Amino acid sequence: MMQSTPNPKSGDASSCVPMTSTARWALFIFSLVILIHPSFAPAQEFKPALNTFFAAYCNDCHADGADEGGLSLDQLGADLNDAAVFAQWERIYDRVHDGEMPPQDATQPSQTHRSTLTRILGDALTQAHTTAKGTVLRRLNRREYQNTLNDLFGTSLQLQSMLPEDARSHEFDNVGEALGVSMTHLERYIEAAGLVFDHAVATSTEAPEPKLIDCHYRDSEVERVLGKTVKRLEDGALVRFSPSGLSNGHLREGGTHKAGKYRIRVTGYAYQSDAPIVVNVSGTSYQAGSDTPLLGFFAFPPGKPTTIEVVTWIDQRYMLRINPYGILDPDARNRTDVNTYTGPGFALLSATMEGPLVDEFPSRGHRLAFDGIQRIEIEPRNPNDRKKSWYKPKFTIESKDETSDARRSLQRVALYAFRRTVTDDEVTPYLELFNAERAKGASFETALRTAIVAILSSPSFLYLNEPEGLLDDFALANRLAYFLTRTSPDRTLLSLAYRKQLTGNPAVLHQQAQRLMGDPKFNRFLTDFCDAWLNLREIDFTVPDSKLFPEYDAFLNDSIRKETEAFLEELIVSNLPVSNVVKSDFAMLNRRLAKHYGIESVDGVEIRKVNLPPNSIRGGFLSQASILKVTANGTHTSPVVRGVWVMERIFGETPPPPPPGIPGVEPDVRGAATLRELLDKHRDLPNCQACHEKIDPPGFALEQFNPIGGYREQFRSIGEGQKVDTTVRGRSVQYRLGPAVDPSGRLATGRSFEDFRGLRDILAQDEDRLASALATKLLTFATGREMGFSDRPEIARIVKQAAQRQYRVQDLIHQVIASRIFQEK
Amino acid sequence: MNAPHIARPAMHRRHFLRGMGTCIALPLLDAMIPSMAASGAGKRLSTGAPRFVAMNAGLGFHAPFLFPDTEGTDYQTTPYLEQIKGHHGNFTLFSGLSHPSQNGNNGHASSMTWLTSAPRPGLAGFKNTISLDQLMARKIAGQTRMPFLTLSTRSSSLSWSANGVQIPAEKSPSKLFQQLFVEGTEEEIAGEIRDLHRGRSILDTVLKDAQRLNQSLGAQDRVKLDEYFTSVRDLEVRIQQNEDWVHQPKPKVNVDPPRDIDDSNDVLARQRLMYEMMALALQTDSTRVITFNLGTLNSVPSNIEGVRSDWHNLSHHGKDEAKIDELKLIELAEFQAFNEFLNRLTSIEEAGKTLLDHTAVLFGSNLGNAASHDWHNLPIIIAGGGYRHKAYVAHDPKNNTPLANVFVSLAQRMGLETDHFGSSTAESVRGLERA
Repeated sequence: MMQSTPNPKSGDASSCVPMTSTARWALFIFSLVILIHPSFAPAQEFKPALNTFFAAYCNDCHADGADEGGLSLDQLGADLNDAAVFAQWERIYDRVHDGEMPPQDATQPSQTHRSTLTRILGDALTQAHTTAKGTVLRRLNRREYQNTLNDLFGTSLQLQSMLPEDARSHEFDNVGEALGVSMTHLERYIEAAGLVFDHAVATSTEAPEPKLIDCHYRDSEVERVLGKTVKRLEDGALVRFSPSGLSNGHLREGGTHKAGKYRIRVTGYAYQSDAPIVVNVSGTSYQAGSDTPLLGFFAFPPGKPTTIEVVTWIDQRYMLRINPYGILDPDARNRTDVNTYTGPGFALLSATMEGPLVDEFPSRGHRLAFDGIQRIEIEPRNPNDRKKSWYKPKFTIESKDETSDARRSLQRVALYAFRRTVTDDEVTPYLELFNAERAKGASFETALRTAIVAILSSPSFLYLNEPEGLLDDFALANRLAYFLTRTSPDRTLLSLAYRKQLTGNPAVLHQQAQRLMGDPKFNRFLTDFCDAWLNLREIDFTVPDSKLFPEYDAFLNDSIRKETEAFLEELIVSNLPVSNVVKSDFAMLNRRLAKHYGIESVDGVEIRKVNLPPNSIRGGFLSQASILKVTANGTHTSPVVRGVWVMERIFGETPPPPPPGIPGVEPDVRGAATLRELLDKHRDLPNCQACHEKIDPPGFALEQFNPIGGYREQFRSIGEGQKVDTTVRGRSVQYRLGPAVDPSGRLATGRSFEDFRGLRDILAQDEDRLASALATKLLTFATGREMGFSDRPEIARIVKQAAQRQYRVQDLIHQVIASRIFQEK
Repeated sequence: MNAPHIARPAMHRRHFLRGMGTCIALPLLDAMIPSMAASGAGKRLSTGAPRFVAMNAGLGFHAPFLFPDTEGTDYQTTPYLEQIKGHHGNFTLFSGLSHPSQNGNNGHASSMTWLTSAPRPGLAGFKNTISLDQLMARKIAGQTRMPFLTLSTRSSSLSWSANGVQIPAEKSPSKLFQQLFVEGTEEEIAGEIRDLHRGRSILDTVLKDAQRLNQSLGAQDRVKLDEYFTSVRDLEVRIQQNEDWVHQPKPKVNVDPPRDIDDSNDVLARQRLMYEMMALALQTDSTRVITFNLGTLNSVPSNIEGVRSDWHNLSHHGKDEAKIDELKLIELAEFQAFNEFLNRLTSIEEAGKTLLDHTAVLFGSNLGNAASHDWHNLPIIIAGGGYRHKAYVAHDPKNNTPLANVFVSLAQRMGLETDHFGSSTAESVRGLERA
């Protein structure tokens, strides 16, 4: 808003004609502000205008000492600049507007009365919110910071773990308002930038040759079991029939010496099996408690050997662990002759790690810093040293005009770091820093490093600076790039911005958005948006109880997240209607997920699109194991927790927290009472009912799924219940079957459902609500600010537009990008 | 500081040895006293300065095993209190305390606000506020080598800056030891000084960028950029303090550098080793304020006999007796480790009292009942610190007393002139009186 900007002429005027003129100017600006800016009218004044309505319909329960549901109208303030007060009034607006208040059994206001209230209150809320909104100067969050630096400098560093955790607003960790900066940040930024520089700069004269590391089991270990539980074939392949043995598949010979990017190849085939054998490949190291990063599950068919390949970052001193999955020789313990076993096995022919792989030499970051600068190797005293394995070259800079060389380098770095055009003036402080460091005796390279570290610790790099009102071309390029690729704009976007071809050019913006959605970096959008919107960031927050859910394994754990990301990708890429969010006739599955869901004839470890049988309980996000897992705690499920999840994520409504002093309900898995029964008592209290009749019903339907997303008709129990005759991985399960699930319920709107299928059919019909919620989440994620009251009309317009295109999800993303909300600060 | 009165630590020798790598002999700890005195050039070792330590167990404690039935000193002991009975008379257990409005975006959100008392953790519009330790650290900054330590066994820290940023925790006892007690070579110190100077020059430079940017910003953005300016100033001050301290020789302790516990699931060994570092840091007056997140685990904690289940899962026991029994084993072990820490502080004499008398130890949890994520009725123990201890003080379980009232007293004890903290409503609570 412009009212605080002094008029440039006012200063001149006041210096010639004192006081009166200034006062006149001030008055003029003031009245201008009132005219053009409705919010300037004191927002407090709305409250008295509502008193008649309150007296007639509300005060019985909400004033004069009564405060049902924690609301007392005479106590409630009217300062809408106070976020908590605003939230209360917004809720009053919604409940009256939606006809939820006054309650059914009370005197109902006429439609005119109702709309008078919503008009007066709505205007006040719109005014208050319009002045307050706008993305607050937003710094890069940890992931954005890491992506940006790695992409600019061609490094693959784990920088995010060096930084303090980002604060969240609702589920989003990229909201400017919530993202703070502290001294610790600055300390770490300086440290991280130095690390990036050091890793980017070449330490050799030529690209280092990747090493080919041959990985195999230790001979002495193999000898002990060869012929008993392990078999050597004529082609040299080693066959294993169980995941145990040979130190749980640890290939002790051959590991990495240096951290870096490696190409891992495993060659083998299924043995004594018509079906492919699935194999788990992971990394392992001798350090106790160190990570064992999963590299993937791969299928090896019988017959001709298959080679799988995976390129990934691996730390130093890591080895491979290769284990067949899903096969087991039940008598392995007692077996003395492997030839007596005719079950399936995995024949491993070879395993190699090749690396560290160098994508570009020298790296992008090296070129950014040193292009056009003579960086040459210092001749070693004895030239033969170069042939020695320990030889590490040292470099020096030869420059005829150091200042202009350094200036060119710093301009280049600043241009990409600041993601916009950069003036000479802006580079000058960094050049001065370079010169000062040189004067103190630092080498050219060290001085340049210090100046570059400063650029990367500056607010111009760390913050997304957006001007008031409509975004300019560079701000728009940045917003689009960070939205869809989670990193700085690439060359194409930057040059479009430079030529001012993004603003006011919907076709170009659309085309660029389309291009970025096809970029490999779009995967980062899928991950980060699922983390925030669906809360997948908590996917590993709990480990399912192994007694209650023994079937949960590493393959399933790896697959469930991929399913959800693939599903979102499919909605976008195939541009499917938004109703698919809750109900789809397909699912994204591999064999493990299909088995978990009881869906026949899906083979292969890769996630693919599978048409579901008619009336399958699967399809949509709600029945996906990842969602069902993040809404449970590994042991039991709560209809309240899942209900809140559905309300917040799918309906886009945040239920208010329970009033103070309400204890949680403590679950009981001993099999006597279901949580629903325990909750029923709680819910019947009038104070709780208003919210819980909205929150709980979807949660009841979702009770048909256990904490790992398996279908259930009865709760599993550790204590009482029927015994179950099932085995998992050769062992009888220990859980019992307890009380039956009651998945029926009635929505606050009055519509009843029998079970989850009934619920999702109802939800799928309300495409407006689904589209509105998804658009709101996308806008929040894209702009880095929470949507609020005054954004409602624009979101409603987006939804209306979406309706004309069958509410298709990719179209919705484009509509979001084309909206005013996206293109304004 | 003479007469090395250091009793043999009652910690498990096995753990100690494993943690310390090649430890020559345990009573060596005595030897550090004279050498510390000898190295006290410049900065003098404090005598009896107040210290503060806070430890949070994020999965809480099973209340029936902790709280006695009756108030006062003559209670019927409980399994957990039994572990620290040696300190009877030197601690107070409180029930009925909590921060108001701790419903958050998930059941464990109140771990963010345990030392801040900010309401509605993680919900819309939530912004954390300064944690108690940071408030204290600001007061004593510069007087010790480290203004504060924020430590953790494996997860995040308990400490939050004034503008609501979580301060990352140090998880490595060996790095901490290096920082506090290992003198660098001349070359290393020169390098450190060069880095500090360079850091200062970088700050001068980015400040110019910030000032230029600030002129083009609207009011709200300026508020945000203000955080950046504050951070630059804070770091400048910190660099200045570090420059002062980098010239001071570090206290010498006759203890071998510890070896970190690699097994990230061995939470108890990690707790013990960190406790040991904390005792050394307090004893040498390297810092006066420490927070320590004891850690939670979504897997089986290592090396606790009889425990075979995922810890977080056990906390959601659903009243299953077998699970509660297993949970008890873990929590007993945590109390044993805590007891060893108290033993250590008691064994160190300073200014005619024990180090525990100079150190207010806050030990507890942000959850009263982790099984239902209930954040009321928190288990809170205050040990040492020169309080007149009452053993067990029960506040109203239905209408809890603000925990922040305790924080006001703790802050005042550290010399802060304040009559409130966060959601406090009084300057102390019943049962907490300074001697």
